[in-house]
Amino acid sequence: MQKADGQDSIVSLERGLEVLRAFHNESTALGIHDLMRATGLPKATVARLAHTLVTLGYLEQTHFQGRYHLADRVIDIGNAALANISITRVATPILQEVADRFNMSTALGAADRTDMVYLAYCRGKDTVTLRLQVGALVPMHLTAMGRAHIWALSPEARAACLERIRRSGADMGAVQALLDEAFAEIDATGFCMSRGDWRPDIYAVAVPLVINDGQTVLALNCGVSRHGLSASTFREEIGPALLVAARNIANTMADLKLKFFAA
Amino acid sequence: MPVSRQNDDTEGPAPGTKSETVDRAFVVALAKGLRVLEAFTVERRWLSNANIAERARLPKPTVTRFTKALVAGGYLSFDSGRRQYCLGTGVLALGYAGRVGNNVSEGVRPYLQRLADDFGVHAALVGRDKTNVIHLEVCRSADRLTTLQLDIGSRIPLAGTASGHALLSRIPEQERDYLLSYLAARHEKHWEQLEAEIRAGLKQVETVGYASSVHGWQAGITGVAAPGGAREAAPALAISGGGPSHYLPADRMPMIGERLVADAARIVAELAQKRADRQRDES
Repeated sequence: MQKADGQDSIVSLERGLEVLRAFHNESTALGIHDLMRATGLPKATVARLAHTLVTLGYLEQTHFQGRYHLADRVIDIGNAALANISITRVATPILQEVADRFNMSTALGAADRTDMVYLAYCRGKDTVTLRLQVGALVPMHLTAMGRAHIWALSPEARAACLERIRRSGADMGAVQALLDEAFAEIDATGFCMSRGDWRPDIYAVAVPLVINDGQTVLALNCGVSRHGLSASTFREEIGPALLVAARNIANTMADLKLKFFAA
Repeated sequence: MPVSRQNDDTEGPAPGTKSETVDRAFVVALAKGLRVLEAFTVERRWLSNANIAERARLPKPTVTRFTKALVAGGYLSFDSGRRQYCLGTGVLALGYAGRVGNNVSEGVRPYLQRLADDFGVHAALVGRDKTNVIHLEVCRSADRLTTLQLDIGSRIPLAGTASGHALLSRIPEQERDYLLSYLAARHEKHWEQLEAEIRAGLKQVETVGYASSVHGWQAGITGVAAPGGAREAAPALAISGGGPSHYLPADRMPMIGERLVADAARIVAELAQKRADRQRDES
């Protein structure tokens, strides 16, 4: 058996994927030092991985030894992944309707390590854009969407999730305080809010969404980047509308006998 | 999954590489692992280890090790019932948002969704990928989810489809002739009929602004499409509305077509405005 087929090759693959993940939501180019910081890998290793990703069409390099930016291969595999996810087809028209009604952005998210990854994203026609997209990663404990997701997890899954957040270096005292507040809100109203916890100018409200007979936990949010919007609008109008949207999505999935991944 | 810093990279030339100038910086293991992910496409969504081995041209034991690691990382999902893998949501974290953000589809979705809802059609923004139409953005009506099995990234032929003809109408003539000669070779058997359909479609775009096709690409599918932008605008784009023919009676088509033409003009104007705003912001 060749050496390239052993544990080392798994490590190489994982590290290569870490380099791609380093771009997060960035459409801007990253230099080798940015990539070293994001992955914790030495320069020579990052250079080889990035070179390989350029050769394969996942990254582009502005010029020799220049900065790297994402290339079209990431779109190809992302599109193939999206085609699998049947819930986006059900959720998108419903989320677009909420986005239009309040002229805000709405999203459906799933857990990805210590983040939520957007599976669907809609915006109202004149939304002051948050510059997010399908595939955007937002930190779980700092967002209403992430906290609504954690609320709906089983005790074991919740413990594992919090352990991942702890290992990522978060201040667990602060995390617990945010979660306690969010859980109390959801217990009382069904939704929770974020008032600039992640980015100071972003207000959002989120609801949990559970499908597949309780096996798949997701969340919906509705947010806006706008000053001077009153919290009561979120509490009295948008939160309840999101609850209805979540119920519609879950019911439609059940009626059509759809699972999270398309058959 | 956390990145281990203890292990050294697997590196070096691909085994059996023909090139004399061996690329020593190329990480073969990463390329192989990515080939496992690339084995999945919009059309081939569920694969077993054996399927992947065949499509990625890798030994099955290698594939088995990679799929195990990719499931652990959230990049693949395993269905124990069907004993097959599909791409997981983690794949979207591999830079999708950063790249897709540059796309033209931004801002088009609200138009497509209204089109889908108003006419009960499958609405799409399409572009050209070689000799195919590629779907860049797709919207379905909320009350008719099973319209067409075309998702973002799905491809249909340029020849014989309303979307294809709308795109062809925006390709400069010289390039179009070149493309048509390719299509003639590809569709050798049915070319006579297809060429007539393409000519009719181009003529239709010239006169009414949109192309329509009944039973064009696939029996039972009806589509209407309008091109966006100036003739020489690159890349060529179009918006389309389509569905099963029995849902789309022929007298509906002009109505959908007119809406598409109007929406295409608005979308183009908005994109131009956005581009101007951006340039102003940057300067």
